[in-house]
Amino acid sequence: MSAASTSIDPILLAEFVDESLEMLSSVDGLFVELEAAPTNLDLVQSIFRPVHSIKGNSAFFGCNKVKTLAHELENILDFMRKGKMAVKRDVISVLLEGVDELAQMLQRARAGEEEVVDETRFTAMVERAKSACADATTPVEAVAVVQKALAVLEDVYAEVVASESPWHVKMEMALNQLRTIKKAVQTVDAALGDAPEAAQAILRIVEQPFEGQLDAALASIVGENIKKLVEIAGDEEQKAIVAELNDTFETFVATVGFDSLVRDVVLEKVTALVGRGKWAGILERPAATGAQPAPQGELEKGAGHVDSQKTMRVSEAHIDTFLAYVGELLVLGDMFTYLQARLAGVQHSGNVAADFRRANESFATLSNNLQNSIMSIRKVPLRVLLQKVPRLVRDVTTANGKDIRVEVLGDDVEIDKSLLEVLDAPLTHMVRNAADHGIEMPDDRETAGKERQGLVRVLAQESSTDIILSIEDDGKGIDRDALRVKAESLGMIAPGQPLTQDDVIALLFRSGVSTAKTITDVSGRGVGMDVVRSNVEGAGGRITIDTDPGKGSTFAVHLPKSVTTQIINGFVVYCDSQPFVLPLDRVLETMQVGSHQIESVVGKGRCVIRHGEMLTVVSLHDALNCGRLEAGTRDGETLVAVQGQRGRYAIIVDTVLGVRKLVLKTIHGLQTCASFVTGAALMGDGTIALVLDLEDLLKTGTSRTSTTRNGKTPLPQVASCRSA
Amino acid sequence: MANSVAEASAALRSHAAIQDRAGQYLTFSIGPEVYGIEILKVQEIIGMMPVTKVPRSPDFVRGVINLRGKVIPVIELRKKFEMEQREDTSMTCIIVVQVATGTQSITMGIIVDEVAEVVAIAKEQIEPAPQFGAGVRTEFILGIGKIASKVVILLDVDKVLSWSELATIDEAAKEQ
Repeated sequence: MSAASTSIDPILLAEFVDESLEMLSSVDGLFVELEAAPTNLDLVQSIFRPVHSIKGNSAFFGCNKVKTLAHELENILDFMRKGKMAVKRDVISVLLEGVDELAQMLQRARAGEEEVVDETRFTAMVERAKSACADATTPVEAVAVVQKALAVLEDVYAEVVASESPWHVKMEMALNQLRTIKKAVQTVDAALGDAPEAAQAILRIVEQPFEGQLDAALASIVGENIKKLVEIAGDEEQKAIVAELNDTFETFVATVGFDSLVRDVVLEKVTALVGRGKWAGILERPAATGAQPAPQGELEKGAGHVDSQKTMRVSEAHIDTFLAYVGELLVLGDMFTYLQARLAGVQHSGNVAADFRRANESFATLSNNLQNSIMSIRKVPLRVLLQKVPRLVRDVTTANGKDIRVEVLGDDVEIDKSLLEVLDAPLTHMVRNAADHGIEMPDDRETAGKERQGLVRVLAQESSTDIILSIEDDGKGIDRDALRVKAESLGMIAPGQPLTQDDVIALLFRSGVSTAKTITDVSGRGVGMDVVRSNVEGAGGRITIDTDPGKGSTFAVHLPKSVTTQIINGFVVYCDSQPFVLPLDRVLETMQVGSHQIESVVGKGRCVIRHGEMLTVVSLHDALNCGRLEAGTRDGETLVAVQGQRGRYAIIVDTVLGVRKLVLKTIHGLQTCASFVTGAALMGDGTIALVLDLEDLLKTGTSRTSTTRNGKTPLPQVASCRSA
Repeated sequence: MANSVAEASAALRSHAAIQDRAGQYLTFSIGPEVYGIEILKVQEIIGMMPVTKVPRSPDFVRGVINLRGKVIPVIELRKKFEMEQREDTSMTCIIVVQVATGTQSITMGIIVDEVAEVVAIAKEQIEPAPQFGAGVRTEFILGIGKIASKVVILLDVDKVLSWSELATIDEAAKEQ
């Protein structure tokens, strides 16, 4: 592309783009607020500032088109903040569209692509912005200037008539004034479509530059048209202007002939006239907001809710590397603890063991602090994400005419940056879904006995292990029967089979993909919602739906806090004298039971009763296909009760080591070989414990105990367990 | 006619490719055979260490090891080459190699009976892999090196250990 890719340091450019995008992302929400409170000029100021600085910086980076668009947007905002232009929905739409385009252009600039893909669309957008601006400027500014110039002209005219004095000097002054007018009303030219035919005819002639005198024939056409204008002039003001024009024209043509000076006068007057005619009705509008302009001091304070804490930009890769080192440090610390235990066991170690323990304790504290601080560096407030919610809802309401109130709660919850990316698409989809499908039309709501205004509430919460993002609406809820019909038609469930929660989610996210154009603007990145769902699940999270027909639905995304946290608390168990790690958040308890307590239940495989609840038993040995001690040599079984996605299970293990701090490592090159091993964890003594995917393990375990399709099915072992 | 020309040019091309393979090779033995892998692929050689078994993985995967904080898979070349199993000895080594799979590079270990030496093999000393006919897989053999009276089988370590191959073998195991 342009200069941006040739001479500008790409790192600087990326920084500029990141910074700009960050600024723009905060603007969306402000627009929606502004729409609700059109007289709040502080908000306009908060929006003006980022657009202004983008305009300033983009030129430096060679992003000239960004600059062009930003400039137009800035003009509109400038008029707004000076109270010269009313804050109206259509103007805000133009601004929002422009801001979106800016963001996309900046992203393209960073990627080294052309800033603008669709040239005509871009031009159209700039023109819209320009005309929105011209709408406001012409009547207010141009008319004032024209009138001022006219006053001077009148003076000149009077003097010329009254005396023989050298009037050229004064004429020169008038000319200067007229030049000013020319600038102010240039934008009007674009809107000439509405001008009366006579005015257009005049303009067509006088817009052509010429030397010396205008052709007499053309001059007479101008004269005729001016006379026509006199006849068709509407209100008093128009009449006044046309009369002035007519007088001026006749006088000049009679005295000095139709030269370029006259041409300028005619051009400006007719242009002003055209502008006045078209925008006559709008003149009152700015007065409404202009009546109470905010004091300058308040404007300067501007965006009160912008966090003023100092920040610095660090590349994510650097933090990840740092985090990896911290992880190793923690393992090393664990190793020290292990050594300490061994040292304590050695006789005559005496003071050394005690000293070592003290040193080790300080080391542990320090490395824990280090871990916490590095984790907090990665954290960002959810506000970054949630601030787009009002905008999303606005887009929907603009399209379908619903009336929806938005509540966003908990935007100060801080989450890991990587989670932000996982949550982005589901949030967008679910908010749109709530606004588009959940909330009914105002009339329908009234009939149903609800307030006309619907409510979409987005709530972010954190528990000790999870981040929960819920999207709640008070709409019509999900029609399960209709869904069932759809599911049956898609062949997802057998006729008559009850619809499970999983089916509902799968269907909603799938039907979302198929419904209309909303999705194309949702992601715009070609990410289907099934992908979104698998992303959430891939990050260890889940999506739940709670719906009450007639009263509304709640969608919730639950995500574990520690997605990229490589340091985890894992639950370590032994099987075949090798350690394995179970996800701690799924472990309910461990229990010792006699072998006879594990019973075979038809259709469910082996089961055990825990707190009056029947749990399906899965043997880790069978699932992992590894050997174990003869049943007769054991007194009973050690079971770990876990919470699976489809219920609770009990897993038979050899021994339980308990909770350990572990560093997660991915094993490159082995993914396809062992699907239920999600990674490896390093234990304190340096041994490797494989981290198990609980769902996959349970699936394998239950299929192996309940079917005989595999030759290795350990049915004899079941028998031996029961007989023991 | 056209066919024979095509064959001849293909042979020429493959011969030219072989010429590029001259360089330094790390030689090691498995049973009586001597193999060589390009020295540039080798990261380090470590003695045998405890290997953590990975359940339900293909049988040529011995398991994973902790290489100074990095967990890498270890491949049993004997199993891979369908040779008889034998106990590890004090000479058994793990050669840590960098394997290219598509765009990324993966670190893996291969277990060999004994590491010999690093030798320079000139292009005159390399012959293309002999064609044994159907059923004999030679695609992971770069060529045959001749040093004095010895024969060194030069392995294309990317092909021997590529992830995709692991994947296909895994698929095959599932189908059974």
